[in-house]
Amino acid sequence: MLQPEQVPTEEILLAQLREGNIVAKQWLYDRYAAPLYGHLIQLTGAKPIADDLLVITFERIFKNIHEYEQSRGISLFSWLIKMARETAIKTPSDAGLTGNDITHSRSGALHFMNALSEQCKRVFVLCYYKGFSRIETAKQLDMTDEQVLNYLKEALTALRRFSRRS
Amino acid sequence: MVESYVLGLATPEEREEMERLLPQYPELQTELLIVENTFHKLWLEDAYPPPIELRQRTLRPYDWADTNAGPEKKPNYTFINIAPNQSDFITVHKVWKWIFLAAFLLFKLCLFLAFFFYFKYRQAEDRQQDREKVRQEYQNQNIPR
Repeated sequence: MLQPEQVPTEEILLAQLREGNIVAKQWLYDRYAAPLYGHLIQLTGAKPIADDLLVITFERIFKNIHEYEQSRGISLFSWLIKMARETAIKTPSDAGLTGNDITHSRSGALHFMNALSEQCKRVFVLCYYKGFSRIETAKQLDMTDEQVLNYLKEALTALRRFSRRS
Repeated sequence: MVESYVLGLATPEEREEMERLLPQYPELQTELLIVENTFHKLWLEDAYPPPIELRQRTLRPYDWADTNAGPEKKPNYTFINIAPNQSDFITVHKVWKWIFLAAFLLFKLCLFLAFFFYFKYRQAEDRQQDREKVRQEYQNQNIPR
């Protein structure tokens, strides 16, 4: 049984979460709520929306924790961020993030976008922040799938360079 | 690209491909680890503490539903919910399905019996009238002039 002051290994934490242990849920929240909240603020650009989304995100995480499998290679933290992004995309909201919000954002992770070309930035915003598929993005921006893929690669390369530098 | 896999931008085919290749190539696993670590650093840099009430909002339903709390204790009060139900739907016990089915079948049976006995009665009435007519004709023929 997990104790509140105990730092569990990922295996123990996952096992306890699957059993619905409240201490494991508290531990997960205390450990990851701040980065998830920061990410949701970036995605929505509005704290009140991020508030609701954080609650919904954790509800989804607790409900679907069995879907997370370590064998797939992705870490728990990355999976949680992915869940937060999916929740933000799936939940309808009037205040969507626009290119301007990103440019003026103080977020360290988004500064890399300032170095991107306008088209590249628009492709990344639609794909990552709006959750559009590449085909949908191509239709939206009147591009070919190949162009979208190339712009996305360019953005991800810039993100890789930026993240390794910081 | 490993980045698109981590960020969830990969198509289902690319994801499957990555999941197939990962166990085969340790260098790909190392690359994934490096990319993840750099992203983790960025996400932690952007961390923002959520309002304290969000913790209560998120965890309160689970506090109530804690299954490790031991056997359920009988409350020493009676809870009567007097709040009007705002929903357009009602929920009823499963047994009502069978009650409804039985009532429906009973209704069908009654309807059938009603028709059956009605036509039986009509038939008897018609026969009675026919007999009456024959009797009248017979009487008319036998009236002495």
